[in-house]
Amino acid sequence: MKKRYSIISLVIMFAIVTPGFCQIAEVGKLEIGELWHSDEDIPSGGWQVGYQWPGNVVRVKTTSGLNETILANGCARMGGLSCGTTNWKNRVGSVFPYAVYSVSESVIEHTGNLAGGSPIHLKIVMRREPPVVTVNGVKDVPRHPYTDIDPNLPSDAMMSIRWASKIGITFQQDYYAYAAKNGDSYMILDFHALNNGNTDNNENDAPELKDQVLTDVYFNFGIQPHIGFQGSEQNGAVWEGRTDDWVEYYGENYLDFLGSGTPLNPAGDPNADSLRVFMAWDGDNNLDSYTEHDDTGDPNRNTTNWAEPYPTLGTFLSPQYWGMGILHADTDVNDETNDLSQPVTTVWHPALKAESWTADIGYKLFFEGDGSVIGENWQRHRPSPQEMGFTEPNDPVNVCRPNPYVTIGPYEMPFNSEIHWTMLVAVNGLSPEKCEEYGKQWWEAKQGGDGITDMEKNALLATGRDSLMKVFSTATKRYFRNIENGRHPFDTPDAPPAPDLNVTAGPKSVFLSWSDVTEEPDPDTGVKDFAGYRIYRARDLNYGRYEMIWECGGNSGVPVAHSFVDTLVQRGFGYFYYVTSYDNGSQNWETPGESVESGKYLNMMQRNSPVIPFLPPENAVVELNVENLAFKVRRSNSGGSFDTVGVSHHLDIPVDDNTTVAYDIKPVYSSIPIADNHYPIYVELSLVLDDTATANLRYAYNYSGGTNKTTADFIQIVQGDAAKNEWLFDESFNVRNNFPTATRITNIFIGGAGWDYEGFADNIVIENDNGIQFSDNFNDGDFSSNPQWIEINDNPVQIPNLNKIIVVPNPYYDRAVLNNYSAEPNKIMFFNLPGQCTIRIFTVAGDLVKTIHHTNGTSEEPWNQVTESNQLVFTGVYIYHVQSKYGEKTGKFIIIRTSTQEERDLGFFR
Amino acid sequence: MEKYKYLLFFTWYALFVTTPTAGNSSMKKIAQSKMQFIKISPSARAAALGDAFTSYAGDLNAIFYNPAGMAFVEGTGVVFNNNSWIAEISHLSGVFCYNKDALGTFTFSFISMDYGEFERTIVDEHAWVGYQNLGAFSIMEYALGLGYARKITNRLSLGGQLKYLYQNLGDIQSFAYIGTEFEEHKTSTFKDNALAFDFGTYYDTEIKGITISMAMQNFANQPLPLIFRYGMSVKLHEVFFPGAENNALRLSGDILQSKDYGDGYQFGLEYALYEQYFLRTGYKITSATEEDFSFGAGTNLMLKGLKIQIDYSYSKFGVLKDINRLSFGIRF
Repeated sequence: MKKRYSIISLVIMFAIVTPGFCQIAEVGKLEIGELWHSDEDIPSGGWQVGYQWPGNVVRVKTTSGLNETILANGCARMGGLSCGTTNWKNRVGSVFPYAVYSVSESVIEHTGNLAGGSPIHLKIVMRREPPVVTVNGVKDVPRHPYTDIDPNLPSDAMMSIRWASKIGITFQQDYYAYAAKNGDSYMILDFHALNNGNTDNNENDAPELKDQVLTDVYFNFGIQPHIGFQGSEQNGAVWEGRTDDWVEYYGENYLDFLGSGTPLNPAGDPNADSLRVFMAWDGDNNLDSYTEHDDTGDPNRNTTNWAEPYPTLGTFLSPQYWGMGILHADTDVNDETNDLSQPVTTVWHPALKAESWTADIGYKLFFEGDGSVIGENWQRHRPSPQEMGFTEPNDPVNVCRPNPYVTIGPYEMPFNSEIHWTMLVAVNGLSPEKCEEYGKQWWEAKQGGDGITDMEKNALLATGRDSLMKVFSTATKRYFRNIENGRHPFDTPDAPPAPDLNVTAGPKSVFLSWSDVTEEPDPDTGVKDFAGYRIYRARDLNYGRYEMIWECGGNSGVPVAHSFVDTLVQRGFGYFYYVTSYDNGSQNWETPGESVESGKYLNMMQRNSPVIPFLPPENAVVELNVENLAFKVRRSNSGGSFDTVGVSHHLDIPVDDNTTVAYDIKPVYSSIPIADNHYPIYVELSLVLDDTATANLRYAYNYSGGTNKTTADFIQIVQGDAAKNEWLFDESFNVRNNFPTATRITNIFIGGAGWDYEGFADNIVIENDNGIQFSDNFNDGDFSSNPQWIEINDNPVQIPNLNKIIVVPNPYYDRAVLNNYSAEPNKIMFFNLPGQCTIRIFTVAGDLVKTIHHTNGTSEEPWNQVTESNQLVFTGVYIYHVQSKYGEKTGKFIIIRTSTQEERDLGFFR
Repeated sequence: MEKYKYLLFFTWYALFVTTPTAGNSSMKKIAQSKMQFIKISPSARAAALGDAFTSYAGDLNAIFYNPAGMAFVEGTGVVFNNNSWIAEISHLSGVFCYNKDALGTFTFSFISMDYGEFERTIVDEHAWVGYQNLGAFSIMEYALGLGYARKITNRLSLGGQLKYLYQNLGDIQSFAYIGTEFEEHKTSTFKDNALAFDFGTYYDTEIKGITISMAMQNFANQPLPLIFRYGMSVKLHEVFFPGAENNALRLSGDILQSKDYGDGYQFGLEYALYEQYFLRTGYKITSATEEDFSFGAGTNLMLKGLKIQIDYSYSKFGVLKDINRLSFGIRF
């Protein structure tokens, strides 16, 4: 068993910790900018995901049928440090001509114990207290756990990992991450290596390897590229062993570029390599079973293998260009001057090639960069696989999984001396939006339509290389300029803090409020530079597409505010928000005047807690198109003013000379004899014209048009005989004939007023020169057989129409993604409920599946199709029963589930 | 033959005695099988007796509870059942059987569901109310069965039924905005079917009218609601009033073991006057349904040589209101 692992570790060489080796005590995460990273207390980059970009644009995968989500847009993993030295002496005095240490188990037999290490600390330090996000009154789990706050931190967050190696060096590896766009795609990696002889997790006790001078010490950082985790998996190139990435080092002749100049002012050959970047990107997998097209960028070719929402066919799933390079390396232990000739070697090696080296060969190959030890003719910088003539990135012998290594050295390190070096890691490439847009065009061309060719696709993807170079160049220049200007080398122009965010669901609306950060000074200058806020929103998925929906302050013309009501939302759907603050650019020392905006992830709502707008019951049932429109006015307490009851509907219909309103109406005086205390007034149909004037049509029993014609806006009084209990069919009138100045009908109302009255209406049609503008036949029903009374008592209430309760979608079909709540698999909604009720769900055989107590006062309630026993229901007809104080309703709906348990376990359809 | 009989009896007894402890209501698997409609009780007489009916042999509807009971049907018969099921669903069923003692009993049965109309709705983020109501649609579910039962002795019988179950849950439509137009995207129909097998045994001890029975229903290679029924009945009048044949009183009890939930207990009491007029009541204890009490009445008439059996039952179904069943059978 151990042998097997050692072969695997041989393959991956230096930088690996497999779960089989050791228990990982702690994992730290930086999810601050677009480049995310997780690492372990002996920093080996994580087995599954080390670096991810873009941070939150992923597709859900669940590993266990639960809500565990794997971020599948990885770029590189298992990155880690190794170092080599000569004539190393162990604790009992044995001398090894070559000794190699790595964070994982070493492949070198006689120094096999040098792998691994002892954790000393893993800290997440943040410059500011992270914002608190509260959704519907409940605090979100903090997105970013941290251990310390340090206001002087040059970045927004930093992960510091310190550990002791068995070679006697204590390492510290610090990642600096940035939230604002000007730095969100790179991280600074800062390393310190201290030869203190310590090999355990206690640096203060007696050193285990005291007074050893380490000679010819090299430090080496390597990763395993894994461009587009999801892409490679999606296209059948299972990640364990069939990746198809290319690597290339750009920077072999960086010194020629510099000439005698500096990184900011080079005096040498402008055609030489201007940066030092070891990069990796996705290639074309020609050895996979699916070979009929060029799969560079891994276009999505399969909609069935992903949890909803599916990526569009053709979407590039592996667009990333990953890069790492040296920014600084001490000249020697006594001279901190930046040795610009580093890295001394850059080597790549196919991780799948199972080989075995003794320590001297490994040392010469990976640290000294001597290609001859493996029979190749190169020194220091191994040519890239493509430069060497390989054409298949997943060639299992020569290329596949080409791990890049960047090495500095050699140093002589006396006891208690330290070497400091700094690296840059960056990722960039086509944005998810572009990946979808171009990917779709490419797919259409593949299907015989118009679109883009393989070559055009690859050229578009290759722009990622320029984007990566641009990030590298920006970060590099910033680094050197900061040193020139006496700033902290890792500093960036800063944004104001992201505010605390409070998000609450409302009636077809979302209420947002946030904390006031207007007085916060710029961290670099201490001068206030706040300008405004921006609100971003995504629907369904917190990793979906966010769009800016509102802005205040700055040049927006909207006064700075600290709350906003978003009304462009739909009931039943889940929404996610984040709110940024931005400055006026006055304190931007790099690009004066350019505004800097706080990052999106600082107060983005968490994945599993969307805010879901709703409709209150009244709105849901009292609209004009309720079935069986009928109403009843009955007031037990006589005297006082009469009550009006009915329904109204907002309209916007232009009025012309031929605008007519036609209708059927049945005014009925009902049960209580006419008496002084029970005095019916009228049933009416009225229009509001131009938002002001009211045109009333009133049908009255015992109603004197003369005496009650008190308002000037009456246009017609009809002396209907309510006592006859008859329909008045095909009544109509011309609006302008009665109201010459009307230009628009803005509201229609049907109802009545009085103490004891009933009314019915049907077939209302408003027509103008452009035809029928509004019609409502109230379902053509016979109202009287099943009237929905709207009854007025002393405390008027409107009774929900239980007949309107409806299940959406029906049938529920698990694969009909378009018409389901795509982000929430298995969600069905009960709509038009009373505010408080009990919903019972039964199988068609009458087995009680689930009881839901609906208490929140809204008109809707979701059900995730899970039974009381926590099981997802099967395909079938289901019965629901709603019980409320207004009565009961029994109905039925259908669930169709064709996904298998296996598919759901994998996260498809869940 | 005697050995065979005792073996059967012993097996049955072992199951009967041990299952109540094996069952466990915490092992509920409600809604974890499909074609749930085949669990609905068709017969008015059985429903009135709380479905404690496996130990009743010779009823035309026995095929739905214990196929072995069909071995005791005499001659040729046909029965139709109309069950006004919950949520205004009609559950219709019928049996035709032909018995020849030398050959055994052959049975054809059907169950058909009439659900009325469903409202088709879809999520629509662009509609003010967040959904669209696309009107009514219908579905279809039925079961067809071919059964065979045979007496092993005058007291022991075996029976089985092979069932074909069919389900058509209507069109699966999906809709999308093509530009600003809301269009139907694609349509298919969701259909499903299954073969299931029922098996039962029945044994008359000829002691105080005690009969015992066991039935297994819906055995299939698909997730169907597998049910085991263990039943026993006793003629109380023979115990307490020997010879009072004109006033017969029969008590029956079934233990129901189902894949869907733990055990159910069902009890029925039937009073018969001159073997011609019947009053019945039943009670159910289950962990899952709303059912409890049931009542019913029935009569057997002789009309021009035809034996006509009419039964009615009324079952309480908790919040889902009441269930009325009517069965009409003729034997030639």
